Amino acid sequence: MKHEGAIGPNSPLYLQLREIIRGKIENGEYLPGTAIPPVGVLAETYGIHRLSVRSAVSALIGEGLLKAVQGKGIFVVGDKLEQELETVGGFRRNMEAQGQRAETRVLVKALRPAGPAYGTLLGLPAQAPVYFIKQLCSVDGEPVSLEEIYLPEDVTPNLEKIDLGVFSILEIQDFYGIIPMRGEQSLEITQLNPADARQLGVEPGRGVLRLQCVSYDGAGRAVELTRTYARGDRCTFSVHFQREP
Amino acid sequence: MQEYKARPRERAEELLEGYVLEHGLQAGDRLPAERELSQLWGLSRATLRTAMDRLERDGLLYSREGSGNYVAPPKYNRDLRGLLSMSQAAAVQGLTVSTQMLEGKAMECGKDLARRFGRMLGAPVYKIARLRLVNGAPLMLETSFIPAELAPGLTGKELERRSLFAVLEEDFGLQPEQGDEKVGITYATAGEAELMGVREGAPLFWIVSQTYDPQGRLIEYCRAVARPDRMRLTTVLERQSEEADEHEA
Repeated sequence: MKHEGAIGPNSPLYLQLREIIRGKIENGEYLPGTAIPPVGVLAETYGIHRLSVRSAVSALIGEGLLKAVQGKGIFVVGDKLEQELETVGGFRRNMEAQGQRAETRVLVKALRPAGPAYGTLLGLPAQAPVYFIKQLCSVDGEPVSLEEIYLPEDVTPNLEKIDLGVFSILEIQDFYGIIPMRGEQSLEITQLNPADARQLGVEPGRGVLRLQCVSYDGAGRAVELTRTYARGDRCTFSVHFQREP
Repeated sequence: MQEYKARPRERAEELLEGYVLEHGLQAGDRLPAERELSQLWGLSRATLRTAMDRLERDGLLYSREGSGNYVAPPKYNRDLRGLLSMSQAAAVQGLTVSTQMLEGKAMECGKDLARRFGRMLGAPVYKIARLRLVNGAPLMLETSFIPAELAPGLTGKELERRSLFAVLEEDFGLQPEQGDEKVGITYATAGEAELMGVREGAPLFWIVSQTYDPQGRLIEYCRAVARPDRMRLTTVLERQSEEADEHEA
């Protein structure tokens, strides 16, 4: 939270500079996609040490407002990708609705027992077979989220024959006449293991947003469990709320 | 179809989560000793320990020196759909919310606030910063802005015992009707870290919401940070049946 007044004349210089840069991004002086002045220039402008400039910049990189590109400079990141929590649609549809070039790459596609954890969440016995799909979702060539999808085999059988590069999970469910009618979603923050973190391009130990969704068909049968791990510097989730009638 | 072998660490996390779910363990229930679990699942103690650490950071488990691992108290559940106040929502979940006023003052709109409220630079707004605690533990730091003309004389004192929405409605006749909320990640500043009891740089939920009355006036703009080990945000989405009909056609 950016408290007005929380940063004052007595705050460390790097914090003051951080707020100056943030302010210039917010009021449009530094535009998305453009580079901010080089570290040396900022140091000279404000008469502070380069190390303080670097601290300010790296704090804003951590927040996802800036991005360092090797050999090119420090750039202002545009608006984060916003995913609405109200539409059933999956990653690709959601991104495409925003006019983004989205693609998914399947990392794992396997049949496995549900196990106690996913079995309980899907309302299945632990030994029930489920398809496990893990895919990396990218926008404009940059990874933004990892998805782990569990589909009960008795609901969507023969998945091995379907090319997931061509059809989305929603389209596949459509083939089987499955209409997800209700989705229970929860949003948490977690940390990825080092291998997944590398895959997604986040530093290990950084938080990622984890959205879990269990979808049910009209008969109340669980048809899908998805856990999406989204980069905090690239994604926000939004929702509309209303007074109960 | 490929043969999938989970990494030991992922297996350990899944098995631990499954153990809690399958056995219906409740807050404060103790898990079997690590030695026992590592034998049961054929996993090394080190792998199990790494998985426990992650689930502890996620707020599912906690460990007590020399005594073992326990199921953590349930997280406060913030339902993103409704307009229930935090105290109402917590009561349903058997939790108690308390509020510590940090700041309550009138101020002038800067550029950002003026634009958001559709007012002139310098228009008066109230700024109210509150630390919200659940069962005595810091959960969320909220900073709300309310146009002064809509709630003249709002000081914030009334907010120690009543929710902001209750005060706006009962004292000023403002009805929160609908709004939107955005959720992302931020990292605790030194000040936030101290108030929230986390280390500086720890990941926190970052929540920005806007609430409108039935006339469509923005009555509150709020920025908050919250501890992810104590809160989860949930929503239920429902497909409209006409959409489903269309889908079937």
